[in-house]
Amino acid sequence: MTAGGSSRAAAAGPEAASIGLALVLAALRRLWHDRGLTLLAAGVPALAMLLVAARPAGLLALHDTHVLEPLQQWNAHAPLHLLPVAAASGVKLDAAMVERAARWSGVAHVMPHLQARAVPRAGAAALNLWATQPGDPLLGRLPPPRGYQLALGAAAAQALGVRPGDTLSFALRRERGGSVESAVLPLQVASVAAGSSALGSRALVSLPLMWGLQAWASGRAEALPADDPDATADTPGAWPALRLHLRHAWDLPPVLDRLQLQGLNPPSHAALVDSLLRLRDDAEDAVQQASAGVVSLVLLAVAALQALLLRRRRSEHRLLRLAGHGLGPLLALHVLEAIALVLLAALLVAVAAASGARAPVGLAVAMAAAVLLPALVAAMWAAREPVSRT
Amino acid sequence: MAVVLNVQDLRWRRAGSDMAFGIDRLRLESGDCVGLEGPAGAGKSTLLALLALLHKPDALYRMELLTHEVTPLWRDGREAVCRQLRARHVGVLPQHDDLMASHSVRANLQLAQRLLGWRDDAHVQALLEFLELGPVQHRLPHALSPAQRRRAAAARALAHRPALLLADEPAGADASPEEAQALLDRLLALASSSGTAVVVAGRRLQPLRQRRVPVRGVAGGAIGTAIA
Repeated sequence: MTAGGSSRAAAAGPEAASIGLALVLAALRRLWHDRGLTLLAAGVPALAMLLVAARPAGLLALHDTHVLEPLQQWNAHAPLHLLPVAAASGVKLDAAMVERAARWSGVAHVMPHLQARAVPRAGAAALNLWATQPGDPLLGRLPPPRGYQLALGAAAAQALGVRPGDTLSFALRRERGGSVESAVLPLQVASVAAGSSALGSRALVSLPLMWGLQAWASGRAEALPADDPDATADTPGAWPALRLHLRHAWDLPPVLDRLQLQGLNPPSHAALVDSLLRLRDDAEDAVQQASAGVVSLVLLAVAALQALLLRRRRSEHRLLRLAGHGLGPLLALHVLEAIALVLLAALLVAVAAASGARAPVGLAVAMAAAVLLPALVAAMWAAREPVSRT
Repeated sequence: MAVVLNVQDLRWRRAGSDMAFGIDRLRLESGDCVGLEGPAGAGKSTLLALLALLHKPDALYRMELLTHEVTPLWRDGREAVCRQLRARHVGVLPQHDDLMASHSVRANLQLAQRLLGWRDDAHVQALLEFLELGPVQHRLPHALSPAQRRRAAAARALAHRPALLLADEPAGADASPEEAQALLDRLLALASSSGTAVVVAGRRLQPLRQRRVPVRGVAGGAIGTAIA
């Protein structure tokens, strides 16, 4: 049997365990000997982890939309991603404007925005009627109402106790020439949206019907629209308002910028949300930049500390290799020391976390890798160094 | 007596250097001792490194360490086996980097055993006492006097019961003749009692000659004839 074979065979079992224990003890002795550097090597990543995790509370609340969520609930009747825009002086909300706005980044759909409030029966609450047309995101999967039809939100249908096929008669009034005129508008419930629909308590009627109703109410038209208003209603050159549907509430700031460039004023709630979102974005940018800086510094510090430790231990590595111990023990020593450093760093973070600090797991794993990988490189480097000075 | 080391016609040239190192013949049996004497730069340390299987010879007719044939190991590139032979059977006492700076004297000796998978605390204790290191056994190397440090390094080199001890300036280059004499006396006594063969390299090996240990001159990287 060769010397290598015998040593391998002999290294099995208790002997290997004894060598393992010797390496653990040696690693701990080395760390204790350089305890200042050890504490620094464990403390720097731990401190960095806590610094990166400890965002200011206000920014954190914004980041997690703890501010935006109540705002959205408060504003349930006009969701943040739905933006009504009224015409302003000198700005025409015509077909060209609709086409232009539809191309803006973050805008999912644009259409004329006409609305009216009408009471469906005596004693009932007034219903909010909005104009719709094919492609309107508010319709969801509902077919667009045509003629004297309406699509009801689930909440409105429940409040009125109606089903598809039922007819609601709306009492309309207008003042004209000093007298009050009234009319009855029968609208058939064509469909009812699901409870989760964005339609809410609103009802949708076709855009031509709504335009005809507003023409009658303002006195521009003598009579209510004909039986088929979709075919007969005239189309105005410009609309009094547009309704923009955003892909997400986060798209609000750039769209508001576009609107202001066009000379249009957003609704006040949108401006508030816009401010919050911009603050959130700025805070996020600041936090990300600070985090990147801290992580870079930590990586540099860890590498420098490893280099310093390696330099202090060169003579020990040389002696170990001179005594016949190869890459295995050197690698084991470095890995054991790195593991001890990671455990010490984790202990420091745990102590801080127990005091209320925030410690993200993902970042902790990254920091562990930042300690372990240089240790492996250091071990490989140590194993390559010449053994003797001769 | 068992043959510990048998070397014939070993040649090695360091890369980028004109100096050639060679050993024509060196045979040591258990308990034998030989001195290699020469001025600084004569190649003593390199010759010890060759005997410690640290450098692969350029040419080698025969090399045996105990019952192990080293020649085919080098020829077949089995350097890991050479390293294991060194770890188990050779004790090296270098001029520099002679102790683990982070370990106490006692821990240095224990580590030398434990990294081979065994421990013999009685042997460690005996070495510490024989070399008068008992009172400083828990000190770190930087807290030792130069003479204590060299004694501790000698104890570390002998802690794993090597068959061959290669000692380079064992008392240190700056040691007084009395200190050198004292350390060599102890080393030889330890080697004699344990059957360890010893090769001592140094600039002045008068203490060995006084003990009738053969001393051979080293010049130009080669071991020459015996120096009376």
